[in-house]
Amino acid sequence: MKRNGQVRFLTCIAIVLLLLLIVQTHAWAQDPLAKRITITLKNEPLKTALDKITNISGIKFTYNEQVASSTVKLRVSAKDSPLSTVLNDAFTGQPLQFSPLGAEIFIRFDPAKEKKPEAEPAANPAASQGKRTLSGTIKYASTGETIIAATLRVAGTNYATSSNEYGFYSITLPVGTYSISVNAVGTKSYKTTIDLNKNTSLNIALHDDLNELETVTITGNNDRRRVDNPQMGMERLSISETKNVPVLLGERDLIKTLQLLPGVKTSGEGSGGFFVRGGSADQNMILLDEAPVYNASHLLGFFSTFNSDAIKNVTLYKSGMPAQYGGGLSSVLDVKMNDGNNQKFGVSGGVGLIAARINVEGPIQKEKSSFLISARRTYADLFLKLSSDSNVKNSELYFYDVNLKANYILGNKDRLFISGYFGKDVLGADNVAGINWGNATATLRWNHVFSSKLFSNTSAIFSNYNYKIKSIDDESSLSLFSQIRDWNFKQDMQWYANDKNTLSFGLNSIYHTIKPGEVQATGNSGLLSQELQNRYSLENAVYASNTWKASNTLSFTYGLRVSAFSILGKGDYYTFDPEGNVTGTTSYESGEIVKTYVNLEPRIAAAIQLNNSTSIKASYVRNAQNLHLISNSNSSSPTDRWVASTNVIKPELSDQVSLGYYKNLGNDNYELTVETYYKTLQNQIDYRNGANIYTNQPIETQLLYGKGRAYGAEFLLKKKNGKLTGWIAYTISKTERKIDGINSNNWYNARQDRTHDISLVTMYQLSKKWSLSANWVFSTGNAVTFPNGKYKLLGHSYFYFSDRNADRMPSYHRLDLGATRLLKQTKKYSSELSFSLYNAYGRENAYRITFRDKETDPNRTEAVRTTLFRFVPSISYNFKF
Amino acid sequence: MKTILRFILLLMVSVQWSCEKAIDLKFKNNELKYVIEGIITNEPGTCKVYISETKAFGDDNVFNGISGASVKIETKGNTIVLTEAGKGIYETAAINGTPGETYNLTVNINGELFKASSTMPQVVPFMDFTLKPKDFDTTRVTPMVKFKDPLETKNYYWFQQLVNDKIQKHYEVMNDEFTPGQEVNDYLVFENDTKNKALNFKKGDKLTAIMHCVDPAVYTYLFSLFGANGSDNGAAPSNPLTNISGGALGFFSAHTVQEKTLIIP
Repeated sequence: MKRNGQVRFLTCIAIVLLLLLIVQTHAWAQDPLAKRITITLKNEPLKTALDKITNISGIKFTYNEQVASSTVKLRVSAKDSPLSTVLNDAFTGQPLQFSPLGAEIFIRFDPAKEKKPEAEPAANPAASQGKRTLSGTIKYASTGETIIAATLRVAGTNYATSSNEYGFYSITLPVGTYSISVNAVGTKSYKTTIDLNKNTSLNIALHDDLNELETVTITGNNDRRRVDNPQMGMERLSISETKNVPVLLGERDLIKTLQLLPGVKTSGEGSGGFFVRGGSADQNMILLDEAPVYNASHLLGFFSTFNSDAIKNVTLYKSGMPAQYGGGLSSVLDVKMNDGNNQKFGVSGGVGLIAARINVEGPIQKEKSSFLISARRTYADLFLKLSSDSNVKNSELYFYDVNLKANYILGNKDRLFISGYFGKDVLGADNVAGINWGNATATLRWNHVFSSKLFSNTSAIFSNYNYKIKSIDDESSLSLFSQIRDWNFKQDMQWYANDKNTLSFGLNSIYHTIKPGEVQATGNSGLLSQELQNRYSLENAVYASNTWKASNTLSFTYGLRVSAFSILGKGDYYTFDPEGNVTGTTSYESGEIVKTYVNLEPRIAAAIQLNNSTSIKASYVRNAQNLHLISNSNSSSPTDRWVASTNVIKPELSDQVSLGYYKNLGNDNYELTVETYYKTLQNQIDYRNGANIYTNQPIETQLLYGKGRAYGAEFLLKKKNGKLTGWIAYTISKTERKIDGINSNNWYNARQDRTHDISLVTMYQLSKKWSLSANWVFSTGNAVTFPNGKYKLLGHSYFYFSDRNADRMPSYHRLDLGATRLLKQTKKYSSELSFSLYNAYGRENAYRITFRDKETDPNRTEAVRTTLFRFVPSISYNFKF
Repeated sequence: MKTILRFILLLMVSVQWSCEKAIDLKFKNNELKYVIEGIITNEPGTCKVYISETKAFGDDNVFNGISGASVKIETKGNTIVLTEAGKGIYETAAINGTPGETYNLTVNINGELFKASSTMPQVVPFMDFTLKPKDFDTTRVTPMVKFKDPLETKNYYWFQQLVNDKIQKHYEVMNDEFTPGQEVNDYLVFENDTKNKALNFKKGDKLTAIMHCVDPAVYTYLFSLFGANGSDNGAAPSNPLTNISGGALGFFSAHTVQEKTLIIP
């Protein structure tokens, strides 16, 4: 059986992966604390004692004035014992701590220990040599929301960890007493001392730092970036960071904030679509609470489907995607919704120029369970009513979306989440013609903590995208319906194996059903109702990955994802000649496998930490993509056609290497990131010239295939603290395609090839009440095709085009301004007014350039530039109680 | 479908703050290409071939005819040489286009050879051309055409549109992919998309639809010519797919002609 063969193959791969990941422990034990010494100290003053140890062992100590002048006296007797044991014994009952610092040992005061009675029995030497695990969940004290990527550091050591997507953390340390600090964006630092002599569970609640901006001097160190992690090419934004960035029409939009980061480019003026490192829009895998979202925009691309009220956090991976992610060639955008406040009931919302939003959340049972309902609807259609044009007046034009979520904490080890999203766009005229489209997703998730080291997340996901076009008149009607539906199962495990290794492994299985088109016609138009065959496929993947902290300065992530995409019957599959004509047909029965594509996707990354604040990272990643958006437009259209790989359409593949330099500067107030990349793309798809997208011929008859390449360098300098915050980003890049049958089979610039791209984002806290913001963006114009000549045909002018995308649109630049006035802030109620001005100096940016005969002189032709959005003001009111 | 897409566009434009402005662009040098437009119809003695050359974008729109070409049409073993009636205009009255016949065009311009072939399809009767009052608007009129598609053959249609006997740039092409053997009622769109209000539609205006049955290669050419300038949403422009070999632009078509007219009431 073909299917059995596939399962066996995947099992073999999984076993091989696990063998590969045999954990390296203690391979790098050359730390100073392991040095064995023989020494006897009898009530020696601290400094003298340390000097003696240095004389014997050759190991130096680092300490401050307070330690040097300490009156503490040490007493110990050891014979061929590790230095760690010697120091442990000597420091027992003393207000002192030690930790390795490179080749030296760092000694410092630990006031927490001072109060302990000297009489406490000396630590059991056996226990002191072991390691114990500290684990738990990190959340916001005010709402009970778990925090993603909060950083936990062990003071005076190199130990650090971050909470995962569900707020869970685990860190394994040698037995001892530690002072730990926990930080996250927008919270006060949390500090505690922990006596780690057994596996300990510690749930941490962080308090909001409401006065973050006023108290800059003490929060300077708050959310220091971790430079030791091999993960690169990643941008993470919490919703609070995007709050003050001015946007078109005042609708806060995560994706538009992401577009201001290096390597991420907007797909067009005001658009919510984006391109990452030369990829196309469909090559971004967009996940909302783990569910794939196929059309992430509303209203012809001007708004993203994500209602920022309901969003906790977004993470964008431009390279070095962790092995748990797959299916998108150029990036992964992982959007996590809020869980719902489990502390108190609250309502927030806002009214803007085009949309109104409301968000309701609260505990079902305090601290045990909570819910969240967030909804948004535009009312731009009301403005249409004001139009004098009767066609426009009777039009419908709106979108709405609803996010729902509930979660239950079932004891200490289990947590259950149910979340859903439903969004719909409606465009219609006079009830006679219209189009509507929408996404719906539902996710059921179960977090389970098997032990302090093993975390599991199980998800069952449903996702649906469809659109319907209809046209009705008195004698006939026509509707076209198309759909993608996924059933998705995911099992992810994180195993914090020991202090050096963190493994993640899991599997994912998705059953896709694509209905390419169903035409229903009635009346006298002559159109016959018909249905294109459904396409069925099963996408399986297993992965395993290990992050190995090889030493204090060197760490690696290495993993492999194996994806197997099986095209299933029932259906007809075709063969084609080079001109795209059908040469043969094979019919498959239901459940029969048409073809299986297996792809090995290695994910490798390394980080070398040069010092406390600087590191260099490198990575290689391969991605495979089996659902393809066949589109030749730059803005997303609801009717863009998604097709799965077939016997002819091969999985798209990308290979990317990247190298980066990371530095935290100026007392951790600044972050500098420099990344370079080179990426190749295989099996890229484009329409033939003159393709007909509305055909009942197999789609392959309209397609051409080729390859792509993209490379560039990205610079980002971020200022995180102070009255003035923001960043400056610069990207220099090149992205090209080579498609057989286009541009005489030569390389040509992809449309989104913009050589230079700059964004400057600034936010300034003027006073307690007023905050101001400004963005400025600049980019080279898109690569486009202008005519080389013109000719007369059928009595009219037509244009002749030679090389594809050999011309450039004019450079694009724009300034946006924003201001927010806090109206009222009490414990119970707060409200604010936001103003923004999009394109503040009214730059006439070219949205498109078209060519035509002059209206005033038909004997001449002219180039006409269309400009959208100059001086667009907006005002919105937001409240919370 | 096209109507709907148009409609979306209309909404986009109305809702957005858009503005248009003529601008100066630097164009690459004109690449000289020959353009051949050859037509044979089933009307007696109609056979014309226009030969011209591309011009630079900044030049005027006057037809840039090429004289001195040798233009021949072969059918059923007979070869007819076309004579030059005006600069770049070649014609003959010796051919009476007949449905079912294949015509082979050969053009020789200074030693460069261009060839094309086209078969005239059978006539599909043009049954009606009507306008309902609700389909009239001053900037947009959508009368309906009616014909019965023959089931046995694959058929391709081309509707040319005239307003007060003036040929419009806008035309419609259809095939029977979704309407095999059916009686088809479909809209033609007459529109004034300029700012010139004098071109708006009014009572008494004469609208004409000329229905052609064309062969598949001509359908492909006209379909791709229609989208050749690229689309508003960024599809890259490309040259239409010609049925002429040898590197010339344009097309050669043997097609049928039926004409119907209505007066806006």
